[in-house]
Amino acid sequence: MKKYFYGYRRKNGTIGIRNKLLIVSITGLTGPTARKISNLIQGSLFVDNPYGGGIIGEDKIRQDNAIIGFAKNPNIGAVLIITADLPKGHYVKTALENSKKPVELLTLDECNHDAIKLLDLGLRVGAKLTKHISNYRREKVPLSELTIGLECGRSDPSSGLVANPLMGLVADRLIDLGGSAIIGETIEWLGAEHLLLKRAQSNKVKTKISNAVDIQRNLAKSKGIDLLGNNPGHQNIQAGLSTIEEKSIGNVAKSGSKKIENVIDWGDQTKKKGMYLMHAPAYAPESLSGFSSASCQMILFSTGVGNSFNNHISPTIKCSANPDACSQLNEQLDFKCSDVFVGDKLIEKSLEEFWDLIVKICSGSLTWGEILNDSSEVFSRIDRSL
Amino acid sequence: MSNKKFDAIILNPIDNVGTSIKFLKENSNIILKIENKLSKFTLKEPINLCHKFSLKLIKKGDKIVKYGEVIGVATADINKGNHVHIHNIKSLRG
Repeated sequence: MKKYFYGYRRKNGTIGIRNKLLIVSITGLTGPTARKISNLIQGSLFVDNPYGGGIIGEDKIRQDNAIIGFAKNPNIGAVLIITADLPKGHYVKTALENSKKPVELLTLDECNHDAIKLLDLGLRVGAKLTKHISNYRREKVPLSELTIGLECGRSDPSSGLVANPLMGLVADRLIDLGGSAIIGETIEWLGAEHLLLKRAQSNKVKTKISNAVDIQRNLAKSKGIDLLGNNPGHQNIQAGLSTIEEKSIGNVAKSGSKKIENVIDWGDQTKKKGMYLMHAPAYAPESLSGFSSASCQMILFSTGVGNSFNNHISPTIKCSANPDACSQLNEQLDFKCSDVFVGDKLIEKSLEEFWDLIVKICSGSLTWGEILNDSSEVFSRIDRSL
Repeated sequence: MSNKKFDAIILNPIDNVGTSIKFLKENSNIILKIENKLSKFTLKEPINLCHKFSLKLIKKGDKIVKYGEVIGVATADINKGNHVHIHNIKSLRG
């Protein structure tokens, strides 16, 4: 069993499995120009924030934390912040100082509100940052440096039977080596809370788990939402999942069996190593961005019938145990385990193959999602804008 | 898992539903796998890949058990070998 991979050691000690320039537009006004800059700079990742300055209160705190979280992710070698106004850009830049990575800030103000001038300047600055980070080299590092996000989407019963338990075995092994893992999708703990509660490391954590489920359940109730048709959704139902309990029990299987350290909010960073729960929406794009903002370097994503969406900053490994999906989705599924589902392979054997693939991808092999660029980042919203 | 071929699986001995691992026709005689044992079973209705069927007569109001856990309650009587899904079970939580 491999215990090491080749990663990028950052100046603050964290380890990246990729080495990317992040171009982040933090005001709505600068989004289109920042996107053009990113399109022209090889290998750069673009994060757009179309809501910009209209966001207030708790939403604003979430948004600012996520911008900082994305930029702090160890897969990011350097950051180019593009903003209409200096103060907010300055706030983000200052918050990134302890990450010790190169950060540049450009504003429309300094370009006299000329977006073409901003494009010119952004290209030059972005090109220099890219040149700079291309000098970084991978080195041998222990897998204990890895934090993975665990997601499922367009699930079917094969997810709960094979793909999620397989991810759970990976999580257990990673935690035994000293690494970390996070599962989110709070509404999909409903009906399986008892399985999570008995693994909580303290009564305080137990209360947090119960409260998080109550919040999501009450949210659905208060909006008059019947979970049937919503979660499980239409696709889940067609694929054979009948109730939220059935889906949840399959869902939490991907968290493995280790003690649950704590419950964190969407996008927040973990303080220690081990298994964490993220109190977050179940919708995949939002859930995945919670993981990349929380500094997960990689995401394992199981699907039943197929799901082409990936996270932008954290390479996302797609796996499925559904025989139809495995025979059809050759350029989407990075790992196929339908052989376990139909009884042709032992799950223990599949775990070894999955582990080898994960280590390879940590060391630079590409996922289908990276090759095809089927990815983006989104911000979680909880309230209205002013 | 065993190398012997099977058509559907039961995840826990206390379950009252099984899950198909392939499309199974109406009235077909199938092989069920539970832990490492195989047994014969007859389906009454066609069962799509990954869908559930009843292992015994389930009465309206009975709990539906899969993974050894309660996943819902029957909203109608379900005969042995019949399809178990949203038309005859519902969530106790959602």
